[in-house]
This record gives sequence, C-alpha cells and structure tokens, in this order.
Amino acid sequence: MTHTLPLLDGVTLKGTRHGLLVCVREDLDFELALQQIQEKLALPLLTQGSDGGESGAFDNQRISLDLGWRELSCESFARLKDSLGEVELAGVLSTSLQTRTVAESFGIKAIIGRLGLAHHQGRRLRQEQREQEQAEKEAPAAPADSVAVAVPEPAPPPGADQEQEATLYIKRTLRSGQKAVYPGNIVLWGDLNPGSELEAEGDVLVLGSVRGRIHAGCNGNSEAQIYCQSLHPTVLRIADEIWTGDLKEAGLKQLPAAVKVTCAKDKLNFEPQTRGGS
Amino acid sequence: MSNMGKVIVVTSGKGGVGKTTCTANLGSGLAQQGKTVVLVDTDIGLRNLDLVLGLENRIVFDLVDVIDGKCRSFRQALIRDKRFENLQILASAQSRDKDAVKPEQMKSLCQELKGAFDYVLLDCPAGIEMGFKNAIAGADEAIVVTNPEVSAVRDADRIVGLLEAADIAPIRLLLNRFKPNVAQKGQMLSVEDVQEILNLQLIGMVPEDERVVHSSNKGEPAVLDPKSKAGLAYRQVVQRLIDPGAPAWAPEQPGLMSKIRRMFSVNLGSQAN
Repeated sequence: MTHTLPLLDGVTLKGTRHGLLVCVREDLDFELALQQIQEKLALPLLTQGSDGGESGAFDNQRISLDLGWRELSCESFARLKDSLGEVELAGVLSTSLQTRTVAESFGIKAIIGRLGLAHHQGRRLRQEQREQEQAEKEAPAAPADSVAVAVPEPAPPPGADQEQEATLYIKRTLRSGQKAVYPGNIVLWGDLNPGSELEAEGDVLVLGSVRGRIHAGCNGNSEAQIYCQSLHPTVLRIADEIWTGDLKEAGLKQLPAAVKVTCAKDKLNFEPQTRGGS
Repeated sequence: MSNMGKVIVVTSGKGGVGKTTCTANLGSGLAQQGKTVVLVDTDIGLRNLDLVLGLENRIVFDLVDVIDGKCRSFRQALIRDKRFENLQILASAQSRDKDAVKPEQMKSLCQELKGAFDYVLLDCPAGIEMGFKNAIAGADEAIVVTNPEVSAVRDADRIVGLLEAADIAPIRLLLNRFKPNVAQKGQMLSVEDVQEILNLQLIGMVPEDERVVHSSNKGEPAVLDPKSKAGLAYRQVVQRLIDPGAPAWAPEQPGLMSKIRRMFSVNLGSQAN
C-alpha cells in the first residue's frame, strides 16, 4: 500500500456532528494503532461540550472509527473493539468492504467512506501539486483543440520523483457489491467484476477486465482520466459525463484491447491505445 | 486439530440454484464413503433439508431449540438418516425467523459439531441478510453453488466477495444444472464464461437431470441412484471433498473443456445403454 499522505499522527480525534470520530491512519502498524487509540482515549481531555458531554475522559461515551482502507479480520476487529474498553463503538467508517462486513458481523453500523484527516491532507496536497505544475508549465493543460499532437502521455501515471497524487492500490479483484471510494487516484490490479464500482476524485487505472462501473473525477474534476486494459460495455463516468456502453457513442467499431478515456468538450473521448514501439 | 472436522457452508446468494439438494447429496455421498457427517439446515423459517432426505416426521427438536438450550445437548436434536447411521441432520425451525439465532451462537454450535463429526455441512439460506451471516459465522470452507445463468453468477460473485471478507477459504465452485449440449452450442454460459467472472476452484459440475427433482421429491438423494448422471457427478464432488488431490477440473488447465466434454460424453454414453 503506497501512498504519500504526510500525516503527523497515526490516530487523530475529530469532533463531528455525530460525535467523536477517531481516525486511524491506514499505514500505521496495527499494534501501534491499538496502543495509540488507547492512549488517546485514556487522556483526560475535556470534551468541547457542544452536546453537553461533561465527563473528563471518553468512558461510556460513543465514538466512531474511521479505518480508511485498512482491512481487518474478525480477530483484529475484536481486539480493536476490546481496546476501546468502556468506550462504546457507535459506528465504523471504512472504504474496505472486508472491514465493513466484519464490523457488521459484530453488530456495528458500518458506512462506506473515509472522512479522516487524510482526506483533507490529500486534497491539499493535490491542490498544491496542481498549483506547482501550473506555475511550472504555464498551463498547457486544456486539450480543447483536437490537434493530433503525437506525444500522448504514457497512460499510467509517471512514477516521477516529485510528489505524486495520493493513490490507492487495490491488489485483488473487486467482486459484485464491492465498491472502492478514494479521494485520489485508484489503481486496480485485478478485475472489476460486474456489479462492483470504483469512485475516485482522480484518475482510475484498471489492469484487469472492466465489467463494473467507474467514476473518475467524481468531485467534478473533468481532467481525470480512465485507463483500461480490457473494457467491456459498462458505465463509465468522468466528472458529470456518462458513457453507458454504447460503442457508436464512443466512436469505436469494437472495444480495443486498451483504451484511455478522457473528458473534453462535455463529452467522453475514447482513445484506443496501440502497442507501439516504446 | 487433526481430529476436528470441517465446517463447510453450501451457499449461493440466489435462490433455487440447488443448495439444499447439493447439501443433501454431498452429505449422503460423504456418509456412503464412511465419513461421519452432520447436515445443518440454517434456513430458519423455511426448512426443507429434512424433506429432501425424507426425514420430516422425525423432527422433534430443531436448531433454534438447541441454541435456546431447550434440549439437553445438540445430540438430542440430531436426526439419524434412514440409510446411513453416520449421517445426521439438524433441522431448522419452521415457526421462527432468522433473527432467532445470532452469529456467535452459530459459531459456538459449529465448534461443538466439528468436534464430533468429520464433516459439518451448513445449508445456507438464499440472500445476504441475517440468515447468511448466521450460516457463514462458523464456517471454515465454502462451496458456492451456481447455475450457468447470468443472474446466478452475479449473485455468486457477491457472495464470494462476502465470504472472502469473512476469511473463509477455500471457496470452491459447484456448477449445478449444467447442460453440456446447450453450452456447447453457445446458448448457455459455458464454464469459461462463469470462471471469467468468478475465478474459483471448480469442485464439480452437475448436469441437469430430471431424476434429481424426482428423487428429491421422494426423499432419496440422487447421489445414491447409480443410474443418475447427476448422482455420478455428486459422487465425484464427494471424492474431491475427501481428497482435494483427486483429479479436479482446474480452471487454468489447458484443454479443460475438452476433458469435461469427454467425461460427460462417457457419462451420457453409459446412460444410453
């Protein structure tokens, strides 16, 4: 799991409308996470009494956990729950289906998502990066003119030394009903089976066959791209533009082996990728 | 651990693909091979595993009674099969619903059962709600039953995702009600089509066979019918359950289809005579 979210703390506490949210960073070692959660919750902090919480510590209070894309087994989840002691676990927020299923099996409400600090960090990071790029390149980004410039960027994001946008790597097949949501790019090293979904604020790259739905640039970012190795008729979305699997609409005679999908002029553009000499 | 049995859940997601028939047949087949087997019907409120085995009138206590502690031990609720001494079933309750049992209770029951039997087969209800969660709570392994239909495969895929999330492994695929001739003509999903989505270890393919329905209605599993081609397929699945090394239809193997076709054509040939 590579990602570049410079977080200071592995475990952070956030006040939300629905109570206290404990965000546990995904790359934090599980044992350390348990320890940190206990440390944080044992602290005799004064709650900012908006809801009239008067006790000094969090004992007998309800908290929610934001576990991000961390995948927990039943045993790990049980230990995590035990580590909370007197604190009642009201809900779990996770982008991992496994974690959500496990949580639900413990009778704890689980919601898809990831609200933690990382989210905002990721956003800020991307914004900074964009500003930096624009400053450097004098913004040639707009692909408005259909000039056949023969210098297409290699489809996978370049592994440059500079700071990359936060990327979620999923190294398995997404099955029906499974959904990955991420406020950055998603790279899927497996199939996207029918009935599964990918939703990213950035680009989406799928190395297996695509039969499920993809929404890139789901926050309205029309510069997002989708790259597929094996596309089958399905629903693809970039920002607000939607393709529903119609080949004619895509301007294709047949589905190519590999295709890059971009959004331009309020329309999805399908560029078949041929295996030219490198 | 070596003397502990295996808990295998038979599940599918979609209804009507043949979970109960499979459970009954695999259970009888395993018992025929001398294994001690208990079949647990976890479909609370819609019990029918006992019907398929022709044991309805012997039910005194059921799964919910065991869980609620209304009988001395689970042994009191077990019903011995007519044909095999080493095959027992634990029927589900008909007048309760899925919420009568909690996953943890099922888990501890499965622990007890696997201490006493070689195989514990759980007949899972359709759907992915409470009944499914109960059924998989205590399972070590899973057999996903599907038909060569788009909807059944889609539901199986969903189920496999949930099984994977619950750390159940191995998850093996049983393709039921398969029609080799129709698939060959491309009018039905082929094994390859199914495997392209599911990509699971194939434990067996059971051909469509009218005798199965007939024998289920009579309460006699098809696996015991030497004339039934579905029965033969079930016996092969049983072999593979006992010995995972028994010749399997590995999906990766080249020339898989031809092998299966050959095998089926042999079966069909012996049927005709």
